Amino acid sequence: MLEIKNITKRFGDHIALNNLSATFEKGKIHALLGPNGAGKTTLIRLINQIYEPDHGSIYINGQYLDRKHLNSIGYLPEERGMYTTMTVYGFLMFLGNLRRMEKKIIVQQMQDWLEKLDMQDWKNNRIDELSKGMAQKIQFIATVFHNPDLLILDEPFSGFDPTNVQLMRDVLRELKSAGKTIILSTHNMNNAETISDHITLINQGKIILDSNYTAIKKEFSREIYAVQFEGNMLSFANALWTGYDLIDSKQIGPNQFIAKIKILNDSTIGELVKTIMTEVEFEGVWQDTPNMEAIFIQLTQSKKA
Amino acid sequence: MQTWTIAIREFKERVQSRYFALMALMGPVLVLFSLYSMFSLSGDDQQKLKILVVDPANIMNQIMTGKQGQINYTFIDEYVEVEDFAEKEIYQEFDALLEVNEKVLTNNLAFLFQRVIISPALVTRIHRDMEKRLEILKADEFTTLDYQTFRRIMHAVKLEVRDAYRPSLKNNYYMAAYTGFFFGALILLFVFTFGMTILRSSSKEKSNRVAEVMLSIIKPGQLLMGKILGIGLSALLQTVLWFLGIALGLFILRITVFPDMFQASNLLENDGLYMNNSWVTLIYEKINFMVMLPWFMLVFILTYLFYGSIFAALGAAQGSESDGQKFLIPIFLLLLLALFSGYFIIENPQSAMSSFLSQFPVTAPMILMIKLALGIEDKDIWTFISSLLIMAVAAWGFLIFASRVYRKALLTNGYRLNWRRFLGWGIK
Repeated sequence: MLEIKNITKRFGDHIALNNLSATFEKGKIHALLGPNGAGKTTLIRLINQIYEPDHGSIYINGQYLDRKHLNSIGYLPEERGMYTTMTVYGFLMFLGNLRRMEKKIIVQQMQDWLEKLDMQDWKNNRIDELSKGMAQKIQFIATVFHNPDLLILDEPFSGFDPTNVQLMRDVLRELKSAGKTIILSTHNMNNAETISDHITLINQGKIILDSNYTAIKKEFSREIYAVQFEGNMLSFANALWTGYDLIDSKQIGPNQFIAKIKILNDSTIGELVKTIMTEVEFEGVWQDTPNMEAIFIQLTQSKKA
Repeated sequence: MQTWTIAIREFKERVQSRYFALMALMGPVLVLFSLYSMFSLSGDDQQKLKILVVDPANIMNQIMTGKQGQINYTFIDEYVEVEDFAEKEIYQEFDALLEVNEKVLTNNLAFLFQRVIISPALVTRIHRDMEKRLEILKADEFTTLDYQTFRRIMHAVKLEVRDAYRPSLKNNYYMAAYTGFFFGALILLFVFTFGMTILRSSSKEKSNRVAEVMLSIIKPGQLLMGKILGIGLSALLQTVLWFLGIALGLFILRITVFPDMFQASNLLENDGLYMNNSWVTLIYEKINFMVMLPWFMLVFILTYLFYGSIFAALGAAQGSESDGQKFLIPIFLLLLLALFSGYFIIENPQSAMSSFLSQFPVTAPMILMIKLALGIEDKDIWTFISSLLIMAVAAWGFLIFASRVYRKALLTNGYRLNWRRFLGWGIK
């Protein structure tokens, strides 16, 4: 769907994107992650042709991306911008006209989306009369109502209450099912994990992680296990052989602990359980899979170091 | 098409604002009030004066009547010191002291010590009253003629300046020149007012991030042109409303307040009234609005595009509000220069500087309007056309400059604007 090849973009001496390549497949939700200043917004603006790359090229459906493709893209910027003195109807009609949509299609699409997001009663209100969440919904409608194939959403859940976050997640899944390609730029790792099929992590203008979520989990699932037991922490530690490394421990009750153990060499979790059962009262064990936040911090911090 | 959509939105937003309606109403009212003041108050004012004429030689008292319209003369035949007049209680009822001593018939010198500010028109009236009386005395003393015959001999020559190519037309250089100045100043006023609207609008779209949404749909140049076009159309509408309001107001004044004054235009005896009626005649009869208005519109559009681009570029480039204020001062000075150049060219119509100023886009709008009001001679037509062309090219150049600034600055934040950065964005 969208292919970015060897893009470089500089601002003076600062290299915002450094020979970056990525592919965003059709019908999937792609989380675009990265710390502040990593180059996400620059990449998004390049896709929207607000900026031109110094080097490299972008292709959409196999075609070289140019201005004629702008109507195939819907962009929701992180910092929402609307003409607040306009009515909801006037604002959407204005954007529809800018996108050269036919009036009856604008009206039809507007109606459908206002109903879907439960905003139909606010059609004739001025935007500055809406709550933050409502204005957010109108901005979202403005992003999708021209039926683009590619959606670029920068922090689409910010400003929403949990009910509306769920509503927006459902809408995004619907759009995905309809074959839309969605690029979701966010700092909210929970949302990224919950809804995305694919993760692209940018840091210092380069992609440092580009894979689907399952593969990432597998890649980062270190041989670390959490063991819950009741007994003496010192006895537990003494019981560990050289094949195990105690990484961390946390007391969760009187004489009750969770210890994180890294398995070294050819040792197995079964052998570990057998060993400690003689010293403490074993309660359970599970693999300690890192969440996206941990992976994010690990990758971006190690890059800094 | 997309540019036009932007323009329509901008136009509607301006026209629907209360400020627009207020300006359309108050502008003509203020202009009409100024004209009314000029017609009715500047010369023929309602000031009543009591003048003490110190005339020890009884020169004036013999022939001058005590009451002359608004002026009431009281004669005494003894000396009064100016200090006494200023301080003593008995003189406090008088507004001025007119000192006429016996030498006046030889040295033609008298003094008027005023307690209150006396308008120039009334000073002229006192002056004429004195002159007329002295003429009677002198005619009697030095000639055998009766006064009426003496007046006919003394009658001043009236020298009329006329255009050699259009001798039938009466020429009043200053009246015509200041008419052009007025139109030029009106252009600068509107350009500044609506230029500031462009600046604020660009700056607001930058700060509230609408610009990012817009630039993901259209080109920066389209956004810029749409904005300039839309606000320009609202400025044109405002101008038209002003002209209609002023025209209607002048018509109403003409048939209600000033019919007598207009008919009294033959009164040459009094300078104040003559001046007033010249203004009335100028506005109601001399200005060829059918010629002036189309040119006004053309020069207005070119000036607006020229200055509007600068305002738009500045609005997009400013990193903070203080940046805008700092950079506004030079633009404001340019507009002042344009205003001053108008005054300069009126006083020095044939100077080398006047040719330069008419070709310099900053000052050309004012100079062109003055030249138009004075009448363009055949030999000056090409100079006039080249002024317009230079303005058009300059406007185009600044539109390109502003478009580049728009593209680079509109989504850039977190800096302090300086000239190097500003010019760098626009030129590179």
